[in-house]
Amino acid sequence: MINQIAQEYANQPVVVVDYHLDILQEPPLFEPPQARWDVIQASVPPGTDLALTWTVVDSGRLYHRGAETTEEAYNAYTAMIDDALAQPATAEITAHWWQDGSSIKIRAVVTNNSTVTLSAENNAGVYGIVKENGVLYETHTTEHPGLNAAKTAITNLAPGATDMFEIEVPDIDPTDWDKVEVIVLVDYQTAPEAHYEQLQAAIATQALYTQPKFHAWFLDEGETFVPEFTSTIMGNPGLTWNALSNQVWLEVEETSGLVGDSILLTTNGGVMNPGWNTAVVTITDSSHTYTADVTVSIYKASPGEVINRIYLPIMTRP
Amino acid sequence: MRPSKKLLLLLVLILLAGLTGVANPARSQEITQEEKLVVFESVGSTA
Repeated sequence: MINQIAQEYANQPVVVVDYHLDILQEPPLFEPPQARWDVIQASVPPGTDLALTWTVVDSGRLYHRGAETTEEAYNAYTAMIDDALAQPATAEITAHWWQDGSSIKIRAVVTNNSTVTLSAENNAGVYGIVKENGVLYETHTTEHPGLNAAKTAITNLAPGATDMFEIEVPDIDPTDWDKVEVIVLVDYQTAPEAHYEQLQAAIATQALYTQPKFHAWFLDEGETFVPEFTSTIMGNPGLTWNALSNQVWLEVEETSGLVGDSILLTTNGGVMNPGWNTAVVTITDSSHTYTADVTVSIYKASPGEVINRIYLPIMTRP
Repeated sequence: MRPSKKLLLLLVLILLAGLTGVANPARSQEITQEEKLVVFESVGSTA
């Protein structure tokens, strides 16, 4: 049902995020990210019994719980989305994200175009919500799993004011980083113990990243030659960067450049130890805000070890 | 004025109006107004 809705609204500004909740255990083994769970729970009065599936739009301005039939769910969910689409955005958001280990860091510039002052008093915040598109986890039933979310509180943003916010979403371990999508959302609580309301949300663009971000080579016994290889630095147009390798056996040519340029990597297999040798090239933008990396792993066979290779046929269309 | 001349004059006026943007007064508004992004969140979905 939710997959179908996501598909039907694919050409409209609608993003679907599905959180897992395991209610068979007490306390639940899996819960939605606390930052968003607090918001979703506020869509009903405190103490209301749980009813699933629980869906919200506009941070809980509209919600639906416990649909009995597929038809009821479909009609309710599409009505909610259509209603939310008809509401104007009351904030502007420009957001970038970058990966830092297993964390996603976000920088968002928010302009408050509403008549409400966003502050700690109304629990206003800027959220980073990380999802992975098109992957079905064992813990989820849709292909829109929400992996994690975090909130940065807004202390004071008056109507018409603009400010910058940084959000860090930890513990991101996707099956494929290329399928990760980062949503930035601004909302506030309409009254104590009442529902929240979203002003606006945006899909963050990736500020700095590399393609490919991983290279692997296998060296047979006695072999030392590794052909030179490249990664391209992608991200915000015009951004300048510097590249630095953390291993002496991996040399980086063109240690600085612009987004769109490539780094040429060369290595000498003769100086490596048997087994896995791993180096990381860190790319840092000139303002030292964004980072990205390229990982190079080279396996060198030990004396007497034979590396078995299997070659798979590849079929392509003309 | 002959009908063919009237038609020509009308065509020129329509072209000039198009070039000066008279026919598209809402265009600048479309560019500056940010589109709303709807976030549909679900918890404990069964499908």
